Amino acid sequence: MKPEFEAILKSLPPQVPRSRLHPYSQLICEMRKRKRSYREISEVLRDQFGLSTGISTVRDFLRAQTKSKTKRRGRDRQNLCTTRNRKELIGTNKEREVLAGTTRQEKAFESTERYFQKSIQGGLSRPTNKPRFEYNSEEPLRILPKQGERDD
Amino acid sequence: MTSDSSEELHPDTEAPVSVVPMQQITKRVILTTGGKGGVGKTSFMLALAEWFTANEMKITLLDLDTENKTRGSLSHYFNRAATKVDIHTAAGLDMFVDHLESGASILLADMGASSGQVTYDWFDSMFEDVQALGVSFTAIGIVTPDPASVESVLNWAARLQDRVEYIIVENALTYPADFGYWRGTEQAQRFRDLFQPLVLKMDFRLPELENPARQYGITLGKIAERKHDVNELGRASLVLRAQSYRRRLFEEIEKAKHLLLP
Repeated sequence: MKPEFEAILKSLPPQVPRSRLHPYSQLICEMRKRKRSYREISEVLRDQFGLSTGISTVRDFLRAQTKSKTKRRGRDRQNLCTTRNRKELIGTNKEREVLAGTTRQEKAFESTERYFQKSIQGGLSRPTNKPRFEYNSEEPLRILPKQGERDD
Repeated sequence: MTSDSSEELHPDTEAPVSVVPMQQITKRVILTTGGKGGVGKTSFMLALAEWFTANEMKITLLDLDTENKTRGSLSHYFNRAATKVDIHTAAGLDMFVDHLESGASILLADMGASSGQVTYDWFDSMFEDVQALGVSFTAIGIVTPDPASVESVLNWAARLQDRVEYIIVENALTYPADFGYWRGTEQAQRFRDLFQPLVLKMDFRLPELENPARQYGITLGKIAERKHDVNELGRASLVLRAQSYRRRLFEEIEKAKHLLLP
């Protein structure tokens, strides 16, 4: 490639992720590796982060991720969540526990305790101001797969 | 010497405004979710009004469909019994409160096809205060095989959230009716999972009964009991049909009793 073209390409700002799912890509990726269905992933995103997303959206996102992985292979592979680089990227569970100073069990206990405290204070009925039901009228209604059909 | 301590302690504080008559009384506003025209909102409200009347319960009828034609509107069927109200004013739906305070404890409001924004704004600004007065809300969404009717219900739900309880009426506008967009889409499923609406069925009605009834403003009850002077609705088969529709509709409404009474 001509050096002036390369210079232009280098000067371009990094592409901003277009998907709302991007911040959760690691979680989605990991859940998928653990054989979780798109529906389950969608439910976790909804329940844990209040992110309403369709099954097909999750599927498309993962496909796009896989595609981009193939494209970028050898370039910035270290940023992607793969089986090979997972340890380097996020470390083992034990390493992370040591870094955080707490074990997973302790964390779970603290989290449960916080939950009950909040519950006692009555602050759990509306954890955020985020609406419970979100609907985007711009999106067409998505037909659910019929019973017996695989969703993934 | 002692005097009224509250006055001395808070001389500048205004006495709270009294809204006593409604404070301990529970009341209910039942409103249709507008949005899509021609789905059968008024037809269901008519049946509901007849059910309340048959059960000797006093109701206030409000026809908020100001853009609707006269024929087929709630006012057309109930003449003076239904008050036609223009909601496109700064006061929005404030008349709910006024009517509940002065009249029956159940208010049926037939919303117009373009009443969404006014209703959302009113709920955003007034809901908490009105709820504190003991008023609860039931939203009736009508779905048909047309996906637009489902989208309309979901749009309303996204704005009203859990401030209302939901009844969804599956109105079979065609025969057979396919409610695939309501029963089998992701967005509708999510709405059902979150708000657990009560789903009622409204049978397909023969055009030879429905059209003249709409044209002359005759309710099913009047047709069933032959309390009208429209010849074309006097046929024995239509009278029987009207009786059957009404009976089945009443059976469905009975299931939703807990969402309809104060």
